Amino acid sequence: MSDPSALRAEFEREAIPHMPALYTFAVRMTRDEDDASDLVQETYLKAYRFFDKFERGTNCKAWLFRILKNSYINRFRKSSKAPDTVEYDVIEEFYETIRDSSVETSVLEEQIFSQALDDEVSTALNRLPDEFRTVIILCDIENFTYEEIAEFIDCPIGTVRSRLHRARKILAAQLASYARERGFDVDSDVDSRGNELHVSDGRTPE
Amino acid sequence: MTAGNELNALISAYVDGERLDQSELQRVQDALASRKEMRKDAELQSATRALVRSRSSSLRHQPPASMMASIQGALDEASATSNGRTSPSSTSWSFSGAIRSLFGTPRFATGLVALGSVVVLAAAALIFLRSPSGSAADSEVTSVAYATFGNVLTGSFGIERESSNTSELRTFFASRGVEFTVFFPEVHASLRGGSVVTINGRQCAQLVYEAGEKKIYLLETDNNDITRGDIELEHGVLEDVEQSRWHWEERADMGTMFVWKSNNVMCTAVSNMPTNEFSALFRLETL
Repeated sequence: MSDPSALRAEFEREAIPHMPALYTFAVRMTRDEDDASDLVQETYLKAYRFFDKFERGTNCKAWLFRILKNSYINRFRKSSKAPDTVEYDVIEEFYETIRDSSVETSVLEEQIFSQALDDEVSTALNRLPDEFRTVIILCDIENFTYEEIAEFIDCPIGTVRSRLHRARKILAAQLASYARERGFDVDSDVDSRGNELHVSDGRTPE
Repeated sequence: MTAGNELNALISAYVDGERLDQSELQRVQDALASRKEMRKDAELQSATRALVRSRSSSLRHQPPASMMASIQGALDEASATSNGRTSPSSTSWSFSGAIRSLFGTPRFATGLVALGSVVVLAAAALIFLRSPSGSAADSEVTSVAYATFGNVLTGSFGIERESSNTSELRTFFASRGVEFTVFFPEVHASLRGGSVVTINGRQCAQLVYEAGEKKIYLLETDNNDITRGDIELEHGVLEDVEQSRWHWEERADMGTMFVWKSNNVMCTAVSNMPTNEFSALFRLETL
């Protein structure tokens, strides 16, 4: 398309509506609203410059996310402003400690998940390492398919599956710990077959 | 991946309704039917998934109005440029204009005294001007690039071959003793032309681009010369390029610099744009 005004109109129609999603992702990744704004601006400028290269009929949102990811990597990979990340080994170790846990999810769902505060969910999400936070945001907030996520993170689909599994498990464990801090009695009794996590409302009745 | 981990990974795909092949689906269904811990795991995955999805609206961040306005403004500017319109000031390029454009953005303006900046740029340019014509006094790539960019801004840099034709420029560089294949990055800016500079006896290519009022200077050197030590590249920069494929830095008094390697050519680009604008001009694969 060579007509600049038509190109601009198409860009407004196809790309601009994804700005909240891009900004949300940028804030979650940078943990800083100013940095997120810079990233999104850079993304849109770059996208507009090369919009003629965008393959029509493909997923514009996924294309924008890829541009944002590249900008994010470029900006933070070697920057002293890089957000703190948890060493992968550490999170792997943590995952190993909870991977065999059997969680009474019916109780969890009723008494923890349903009462989890928005801030707690947000904080738990932010505490995930980049690799895990990315897949949760893309899958559960932005509704990307596994295939799209795999393309985004440059990994096989098996890695997406695995990371999502681990991310959700860590997220659930984190939310259980918040619940404990709020007064829910979340005990972990180890039996011969592994950890059995029981949840009950431990608050004193008024 | 162990069989257990593999099964766990399949569980997440299962609860997300993602496509599994027949054998994978069978494995999941068998595990769910026969193993209580797998059923619990699937329930946990499903519950966590549902929780995040139910809170997705509160997990979203509303883009600030200032950012949206800024993006619209930048798009307007980009549209104007692509329509061939230029702002009045771009036709009368001047040193004061260069300084204004360099330090006019908030990122650059912070903590800067314009006069001091002029001195720094002028001093950087003098380092280069003291050397014989077309020959850099310094043998370190980033120093040469910053100093030459100062000359580009002041208008004292001479473009030997004014052309936007890359074939013509390649021929020119070859005729001037540049032994490597000069790389022309895909960049959304106008190529003005090229010149040759000799660094420590080695012929290197220089390209100048314009993007509206902003300038881009690109210095290309043969990576073999750097490897052999004929041409120096600051250790930290070289390390970044080796490890991460690129290096960038934004110096308030000098400009924004990108260094990357394309095939065996070390490319060092300097511009008077902030990083986000500069990066936005390059095609994704370049940087």
